[in-house]
Amino acid sequence: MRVTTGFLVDQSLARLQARLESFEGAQNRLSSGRQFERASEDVNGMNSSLALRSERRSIDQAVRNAQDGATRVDLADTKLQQSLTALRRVRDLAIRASSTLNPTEAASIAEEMGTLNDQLVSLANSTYLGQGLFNGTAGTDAVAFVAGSWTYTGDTGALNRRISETETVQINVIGDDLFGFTSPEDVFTMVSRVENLARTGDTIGVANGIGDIDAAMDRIQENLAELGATGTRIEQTIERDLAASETIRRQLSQLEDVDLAESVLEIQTQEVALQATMGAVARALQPTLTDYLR
Amino acid sequence: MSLRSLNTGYTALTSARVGIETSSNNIANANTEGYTRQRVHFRPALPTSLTYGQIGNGVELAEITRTRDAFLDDRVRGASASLEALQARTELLNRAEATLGEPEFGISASLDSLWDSFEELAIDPTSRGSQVEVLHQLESLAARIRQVATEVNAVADATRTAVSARIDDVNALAARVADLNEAITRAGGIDGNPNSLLDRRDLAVDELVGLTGAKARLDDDGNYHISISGLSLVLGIEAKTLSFDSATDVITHDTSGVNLTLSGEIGGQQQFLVEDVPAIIGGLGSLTVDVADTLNAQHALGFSGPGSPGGPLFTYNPLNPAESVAVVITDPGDLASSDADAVPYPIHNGENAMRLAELRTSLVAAGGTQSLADLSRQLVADVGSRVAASRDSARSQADLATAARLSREQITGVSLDEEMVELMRYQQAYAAAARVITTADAALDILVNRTGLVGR
Repeated sequence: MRVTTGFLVDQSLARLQARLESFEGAQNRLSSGRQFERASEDVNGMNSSLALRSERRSIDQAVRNAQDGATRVDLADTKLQQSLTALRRVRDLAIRASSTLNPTEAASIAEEMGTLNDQLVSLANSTYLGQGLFNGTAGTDAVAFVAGSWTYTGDTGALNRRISETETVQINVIGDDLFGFTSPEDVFTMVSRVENLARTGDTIGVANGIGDIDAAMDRIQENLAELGATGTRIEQTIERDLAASETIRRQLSQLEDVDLAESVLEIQTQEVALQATMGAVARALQPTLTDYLR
Repeated sequence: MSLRSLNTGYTALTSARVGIETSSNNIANANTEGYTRQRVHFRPALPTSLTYGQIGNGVELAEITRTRDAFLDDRVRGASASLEALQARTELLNRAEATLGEPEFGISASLDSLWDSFEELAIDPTSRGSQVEVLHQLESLAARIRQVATEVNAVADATRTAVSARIDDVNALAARVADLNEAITRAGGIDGNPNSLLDRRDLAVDELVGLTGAKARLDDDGNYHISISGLSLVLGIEAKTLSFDSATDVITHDTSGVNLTLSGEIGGQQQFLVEDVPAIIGGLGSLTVDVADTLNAQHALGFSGPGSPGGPLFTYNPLNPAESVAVVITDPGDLASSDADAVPYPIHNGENAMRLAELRTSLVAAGGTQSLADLSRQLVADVGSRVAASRDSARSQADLATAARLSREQITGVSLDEEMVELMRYQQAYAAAARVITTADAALDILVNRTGLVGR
């Protein structure tokens, strides 16, 4: 094999170039902290990375949805508890009014019942961030006194929240069923009726009304239980979602990030190799016959 | 006799000088591109026949040849043409891939943000902030798609300019090879050894083949015949031309009107323009059409107000979806978040916004087998695979091309050490030849000045 100067130079340059390329790659990875920056460097890796990122975004959004849902559920729970308290008070008053009272007492009991009814209406129309808790998806109040009677002025729309990758829950309680508008008598009309019975001293009527008060309280109690279950479910799902998000974060890190220690070691190895190649190139190119001729 | 020696010495001197000159030429041109080392060949001068045998008459120059191997030339040209093609295409594909900006700033991330914004809207459809955010994300997605399409097309346009310039180079080189064919014929053909002309022609042919991947063959007249797909580019002293139409990305052989698919550097660029760019823009366009159509369809199923069904969110030009996609909805209040139009109007109904958000994972593309995110990822993977395949081919071809080049270098290259030795050899020959002349001169001197002195 005949070795010419051009041959030596070409070979040396090619080897040096290859070394420099490896070195540059290692340097790039260390300074960017990423195993790959483009799909062409690792097609499957990039695909997995994109899929994992999308999934994580989805889970994080589900957590936000769930947290909003949990807040509403909590608030609805509180309002319904307060409604129950008010109804209990009405019941106590009704028991008092079912035994014969003097007119002054009867009037004051009736008046208190009236105030409690107003409280119930106000609780029924509670809102959170401008949106009613018990009026479905309508923009109007849940309950209003329209044309002489209490009417449900909301709608029956469900408020749904996607709380995880696989679950969607309804977080609202529809007022028409809750407050008795789908039953023969709604709770507000009922309290109003008992109030009037108390005012007129109709002890029998008031005594009969206690059963109706109980029925109204039962309805609220049932819905409270369901709300409680929904709330718990949401809380648990949030926990699971957060754990899943964290798992994905770790997976992504393993996929995308360089191991710092490994990377530093790689750079040092490449550097030593580069120096060795440069040394070899220098030794190959330097000696020439002209050095030895006179 | 002595006079013969004088002449013989003279021929020795001349030939030694030619040897030194040839070696000096080789040394001077050791780093010249395309230079082939020259060797000098001597032969004995015609001897004189005498009755008792032949007596030599010294040395004469036979020829000065280039040490060139046509087979190796062919190998180098072939390998180099393939390498140029692969390298050109890889570089262009790299630039195209860079426009995608994945994973942080790409279309995938834009889509993710859009689905998130729809879900925020579903939580409170009356929130102005959430509505504005949805519009913002729609616009962001459209802008991202347009940007990728525009940038890929910009790379394509830059490539077209480069191809035009290169085609001009090809035509100039073809003309040069034809001229050199003529010059070499006039200088006596290959047998006349017009070495520097031959070197220049070989260099021009190397460049031409590197650009086009053409076939180069020495014909019987000693002319280089260059052809592409059987059509002549250089035939004898005639050069044909190629032209490039940047509107259709077609390269035509002017004389015959046939469209050519080249190899070499221009071939790589051509492949990028004709195969890769349409595939990438096409993939982007399909994605755009799917995203726009699906979102528009779902939005139309919802209501933004009493008696107001959802209007289109995106428009695009079907001939060029990716570059033309735009958001048509301008009023945040026109977002159709509700899935029902009842009386009273359910202002807090965000079910249609939820349906829109569900497009994150629903299988609406490719006939119901893929989600929009899958399509987007597929586009990224497709471009990535193209680049990776081209780059890996280029790497292995580089090794082959280097090996071929080094084989040729071994034969044609100048070894400085070898030339040093040659110089020494001819220097000593020169010294010896001078000695011969001195000896002959001394002998003649004796004959002329020292004889016939008796009796004087």
